Order: sequence, then structure tokens, then C-alpha cells
Amino acid sequence: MTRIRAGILAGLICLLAVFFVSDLSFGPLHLSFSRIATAVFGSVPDQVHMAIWQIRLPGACLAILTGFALGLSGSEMQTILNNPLASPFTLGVSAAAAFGASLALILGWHLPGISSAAAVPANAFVFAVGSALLLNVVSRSREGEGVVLFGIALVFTFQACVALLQFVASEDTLQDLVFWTMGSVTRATWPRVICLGLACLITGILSFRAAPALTMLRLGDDRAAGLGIDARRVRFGALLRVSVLASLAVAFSGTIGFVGLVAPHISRHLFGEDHRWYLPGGALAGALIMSAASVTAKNTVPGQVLPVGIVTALAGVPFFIAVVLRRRGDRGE
Amino acid sequence: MPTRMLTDSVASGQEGLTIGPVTVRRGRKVVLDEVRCGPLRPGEVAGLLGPNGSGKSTLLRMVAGLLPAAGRAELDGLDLSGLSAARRGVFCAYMPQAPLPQLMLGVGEMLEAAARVAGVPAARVADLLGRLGLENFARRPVGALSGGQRQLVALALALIREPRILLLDEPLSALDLRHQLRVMEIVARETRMRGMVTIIVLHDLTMALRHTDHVVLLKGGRVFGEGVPEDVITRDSLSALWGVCARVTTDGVIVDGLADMPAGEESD
Ligand SMILES: Nc1ncnc2c1ncn2[C@@H]1O[C@H](COP(=O)(O)OP(=O)(O)OP(=O)(O)O)[C@@H](O)[C@H]1O
Ligand SMILES: [Mg+2]
Repeated sequence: MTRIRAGILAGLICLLAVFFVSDLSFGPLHLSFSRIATAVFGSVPDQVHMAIWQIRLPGACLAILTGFALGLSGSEMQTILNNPLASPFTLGVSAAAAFGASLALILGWHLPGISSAAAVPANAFVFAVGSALLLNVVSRSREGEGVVLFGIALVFTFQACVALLQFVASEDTLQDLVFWTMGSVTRATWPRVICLGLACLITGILSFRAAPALTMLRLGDDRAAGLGIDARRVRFGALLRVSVLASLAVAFSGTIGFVGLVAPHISRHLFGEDHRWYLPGGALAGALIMSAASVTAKNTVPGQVLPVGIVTALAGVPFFIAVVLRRRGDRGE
Repeated sequence: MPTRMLTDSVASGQEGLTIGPVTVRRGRKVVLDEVRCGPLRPGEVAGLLGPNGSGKSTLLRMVAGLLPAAGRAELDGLDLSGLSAARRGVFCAYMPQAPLPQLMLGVGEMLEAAARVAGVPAARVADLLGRLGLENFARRPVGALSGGQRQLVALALALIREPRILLLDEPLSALDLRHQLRVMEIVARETRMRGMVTIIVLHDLTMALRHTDHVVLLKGGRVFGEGVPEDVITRDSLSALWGVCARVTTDGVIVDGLADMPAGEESD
């Protein structure tokens, strides 16, 4: 069992490497593998070298890290809210983060004591935490469907708020903002990549440590409590991690839908629900989807790079419908 | 009427588990009304019996620490109600009435995760599976087990720790006859061996009569009687609680049919 799963995991990592390299080679200028290798490892600072180091590498890394963050946070959310439709995107955590970020981008509003450089991610985080805590409260008082409905309400509310900000925004910021709300990894920079990378590493370790408790949470709160698990604390920790990951992903890559919803389902299918496998699997599946989407975004319209969020949304909608229909089917039995 | 009455059980500082007073309200309805019982002695299996809706599960959840404001429970004079969830989990193992959800999670890996959470060695999992006759299910997902098999797995989950108090809410309801007897045997053996206080909710009166050391009867959220099974499970209590005409013999309870129940007592 363990060996099969380790094999699947290794296979996914290889696949990810393939997408990563393709992501580097595609773009306005198609580069061969050897050309990339010489540009990365060689020391000749020519134009290709610059393009790789300044644009393509950070872009490809940001795609993978964003996917990792969304996949992991979606996996944790589906567990703690006990709902297969939960994800930062579907339940409004991403939308809330986007609103927070827009506040900084358009109005220049930021929290006291936060430098304006960190204002976008900081604002995104504050709103993401707020919405996550609201979801937590609602999930405690109402079962299943109630959380999803509340989450959808959050999505619409914050989208309307972002639209309102766009309406009052100046011409220049508007273009920036529209591009960003579509979700894109083309404006990646190394500081962003490093910041998100560190966040992924730390939350990844923390959630892996919480994995046994999260597995027990799947058995229901009463049973988990019978084993000495403080379900509230486990949930709260998970929500904090989700908020960190979702807000950073939104702050750096914009709102990217469906990755956080789809990845957990893939992982559950491949690895089952032992969270020591399911959580890494979800993160990896998310990274894989994003990397693939990034490659697709560069190859759909000749000479243009689509915002990657459009690709994930278009690919994700059929999947979303399939999940909903399958849930109906389960209940009809 | 039952023998050992409430009066001698309230004093604290006794050996065993003393419960009460416990009061639980759900909206306007009083689900448990100043319930007191015990002391339930270490090494003894106590049966908790009563009609549907009489408050058995609620009482068990309270002892498990899931209803923090409901009342007191003392183990050897130590008040359990002030303990944190984690500390309470060390004292009490609790098997809820609801069946295990059908997950894509191997029986073995589920128990291993539980062992990790509980801080007990992973070797205990194999041992437990062996004792419950579940060796062949270790690799099967919980979602692919029958109802009775899942109930056995849920019992294994409750036994993963070596608790002082074992709370089992209808662990036999989905089991075949052989497994019912086997589980009762295992529970009795573990209880004696470890000196646990075990409370088991049952609906089978013969089982309670022959395999428990102590019985608590609940009716409408109040303790109807408590004591040695033979003294408490009687013709009168059967007709008063369940509205059946029955004979209680040394071999077990033989139910002859329904008796008339006073109007309005049918439910709850
Ligand atoms: N969440 C709840 N909200 C409102 N009332 C509840 C709730 N849970 C239980 N009750 C009520 O509390 C009473 C006792 O319920 P409890 O589950 O303890 O009964 P029980 O003795 O375990 O019954 P059963 O034999 O059917 O399992 C019932 O009347 C029930 O309707
Ligand atoms: Mg019950």
C-alpha cells in the first residue's frame, strides 16, 4: 500500500518536473531544453539568460507554488468543513482576500504599522482570515449545505465590493487590477516566489504534523473528541494555514479558481483519506494543475499568454459540475 | 423497586465513577433531569438501559466531556468536568452511537492515525485487530465494510487507548449473535484486566441481565432505578419503561407482548 502510494507520488513529481521544464521553454520565444540548460547554468549573461532568470523561472515557480498553496488549502478546507465543495475559491476566502488586496491597490489603504510594500498581502490575509472564521462559525451551527450557501454569499459580496472599487479606480490601476483579478503568474518576481515558497514550506510542515488529528476529524467531531482531540483547535489551526496560503496566492497571482477544489478530489482518489498522504497529494496535484495550466495558457492563442486563471476556470467548471452530480447520485442510493 | 438507591452514591471521594447531578436542556425540553448515578466500580461493566429518547446517549456524551456545562462526573474523587479535551481523552474512551462514516481510509491506517494521536505504540493496532478478529480487514477501506464490521472497527478505535473509563453507545446494535457475545466477552475481559469503569448502552435485556455487573435504568431523562441486574430488570420495570409484558427468568427475559402504556408516555 505504502509502496504503491510512494510510486504514485514519485510519478506525480516526475510529471511536475516535465511541466516545469515545458513551462520554461514555452513563451513568446520557444527555447529548446539545451538552450535553457546553458542559460540557467551557464554564466553568459545574454538576452536569453535574462529572460529565463527574470521572467520564466519566477513565473514557472510561482505557478507551482500557487498551485501547491491552493491545493493544500483546498484539501484542508474540505476536511475541516466536511464538505467536498469547499475550497478557498468556492467559499469566498479568495474573494475576500482579493477585496483586501484591492483596497491596498486602489485606495492605498493599509493597516497601521505595515509598509506599503507588504500592504497587498497583509490586507489580503486580514480579509481571508475574517472570512475563514465566519465560515467556521457557520459550519459549527449549520450542517453541510448551509456552509456552501454562506460561502457563495461571501463570493458574491466580495466580488461586488471589488467591482465597486474597480468602478472608482483610475485608468492605470484599473488595467492592473483587471489583469490581476483574472489570475496570472506572469508578473512573478523573486521576492514573491521566495515569500510564497517559505509560506508553503512552513504551513506544509505544520499541516503534515496535524495530519493524524485531521484524519480523525473525518470520523466526526464526537469520535475525535473521544480520542482526546480538541476539534476546535485543530480547525482553528487549519483555518489559519488556509488563510495564509490563500491570501498569499491571491496577493501574488490573483484569484485562480477551481484548483483548490479539484486537487483534493484527485488526491483522495489516488491516495485515500489518510491525511499523511492526502495532504501532500493535494498540494502536489494543485501544483501539477497550475503548472499544466500555465503551459496551456502559453500555447492556446498564438503569440499571446492567457491569464492562467481563465484556463483553470474553463477546465474546472466541468469538474465542478461532475462533483455536484456525483454527490446527488450518492444521496439517491 | 430497585435496591441501591440514589442516596449512598452522591458523596464524593469514593472509588469509581460517580455521575451527577447532570441536567441537560435542549430548547424547552429537559433531556436529563438531575441525573445521578454511581459509584460505578472499576473492573465492572455497567449497562445503561432505557427506551429510545430516554437520554442514554446524552448521558454518555456528558461523561465523555462533550457537554461541558451539563454537570459533574468524578473518578475516584477527581472532578472530570474541569479537564481539557486532551486530558479527558486520556481518561475516557468513547464510542458514539452513530456509525463510522464510509471513508476511503484503510482500517489499519485509521487505527494507526488514532494511535499516533493517542500517543500509544503502533504495535497496539495489530494486537487489537487480532483480538477483535479483524486481521483480514486491516487493508480494506472503512467505506467497503459491512455495517457490523464497521461497528467492530469503531470499537477497536475506542479501545486504542488504555482508558480508565470506557463508554460504549450501543456497540452491539449491528452485530450478529456470535459477535455480540464475543464483544461482550472482550469488553468484560478488558474491563477486569485494566480495572476500567465501563458503561455500555444496550437494548438487549437478556444481554444486560447476563453480561453486566450493574444496571442503570433511564426513563424520560431521570434515573428509574439502579443496581444489580437481577434486582433492576424486573417484570415491573419492563412494563413501566418499555410497556411490554415479560417474564424475567434465570435464563433471560422472555417478552410475551405489548402492555398498555399510560397515555402520553409512548414517546420520550
Ligand atoms: N441535538 C438535539 N436537539 C434537540 N433534542 C435532542 C438533540 N439530541 C437529542 N435530543 C433529544 O434528547 C432526548 C434524549 O436523546 P438521546 O439521544 O440521549 O436518547 P437515547 O436514550 O440515546 O435514545 P436511543 O435509544 O434512541 O439512542 C431525546 O428526546 C431527543 O429527542
Ligand atoms: Mg442513543
